[in-house]
Amino acid sequence: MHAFLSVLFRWLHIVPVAILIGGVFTMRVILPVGLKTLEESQRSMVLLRCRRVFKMTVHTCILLLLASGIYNTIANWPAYQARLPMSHAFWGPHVILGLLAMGILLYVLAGRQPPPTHQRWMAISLGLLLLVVLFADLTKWVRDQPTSPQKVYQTSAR
Amino acid sequence: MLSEWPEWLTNTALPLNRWLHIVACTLMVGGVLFFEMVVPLATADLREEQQMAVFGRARWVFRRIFLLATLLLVITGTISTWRMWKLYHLDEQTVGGFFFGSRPWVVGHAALAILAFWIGLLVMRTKRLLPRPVSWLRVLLVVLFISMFAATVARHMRLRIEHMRRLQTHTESPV
Repeated sequence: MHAFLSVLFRWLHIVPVAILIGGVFTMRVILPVGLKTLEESQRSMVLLRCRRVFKMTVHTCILLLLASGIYNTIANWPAYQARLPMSHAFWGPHVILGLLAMGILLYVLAGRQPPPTHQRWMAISLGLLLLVVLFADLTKWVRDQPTSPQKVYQTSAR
Repeated sequence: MLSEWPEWLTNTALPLNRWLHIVACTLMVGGVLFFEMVVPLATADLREEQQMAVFGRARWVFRRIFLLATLLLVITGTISTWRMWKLYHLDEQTVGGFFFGSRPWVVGHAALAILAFWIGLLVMRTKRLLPRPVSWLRVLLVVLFISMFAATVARHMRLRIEHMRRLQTHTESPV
C-alpha cells in the first residue's frame, strides 16, 4: 500500500507542476501572440475567458500539489533528517518559494478582471516556479545520497 | 566513466540535466493541456475563421517550443539513461531478471515518450493541418501522463532495489 501511495503521490506532484508551469508559460508567452489577429475587444474577451478556465486548472493543481507535497514530506522526513543540513537547505526554499508562487498566481487570477500588472506577476511566478523545480531537484539529489561518507560515484553510476 | 569525473562536475551537471528534463516536460505538458482544454473553451464564441486564426498562430509559436522541448527531452533523457545503465544491470542481478527490475518501466517511459513526440509533431505540422487536432492533443496528453507515470514507477523500483541491495551488503559484511 505504501509503495502504491508513494508512486501515486509522486506522480500527483509532478503532473500538476507540469500543468502549472506550462500553463503559465503558454498564458504569458504564447497566447498573446495567438491573439494578435483579433480586435482589441475580442482579444480582451478571449483573454478573460482563458483566464477563467485557467483559474480552475490552477486551483485544482494547487490543491493536488499541497496534498501530495504534504504526503511526500511526511514520507521522506526521516531521509531529510539523516542528511542535515543540506536537505533542509534545499527543501525549505522549495516549500517557501512554491507557496509564494502559488500566492502570486492566486492573486493574479482572483477577481473578474486581472490586476493592471498581471503580466509582470505572471512572469515573476514563472521564474519562481522554475526555481522551485530546481530546489526540488536538489532536495532529491541530496536525499538519494547515501548517509555514509562513501562517495556515490566511486561505487555506482548513479 | 562517471567515477573519473571531478565530484563538483557530477554534482552540478547531473542535477542540471534532470532539471532541464523536467522543465522541458512541463513546457510540453502544460502547453498541450492549454491548447486542448483552455483555448477551445475561450474561443468558442468567435467565428470559425477567427478560431482557426488564433489556434493556428498560437500553434505556430508553440511548435517551436514543442520542438525545443523534444530536443531537450531526448538529449537529457539519453544522458540520464547512459549514466543509469550500469545500475539497471546491477538491479537485475539483485532481483533476478529483466522483468523484475526497473528497466521495463524505463523502456515503457521512453517508448511512450517517442509516441508522444510523433503525435505532437503530426499535430504541429504547419504544411497540412491534421483533422480534429484537439482530439489528437487529448490523446497526446494522455500518452504524456502515462509516460510520466512509468518514469515515476521506474524510479520507485530502482530505489527499492537499491535499498534491498544495501541491506544485503550490510547483512553479508557487517562493519
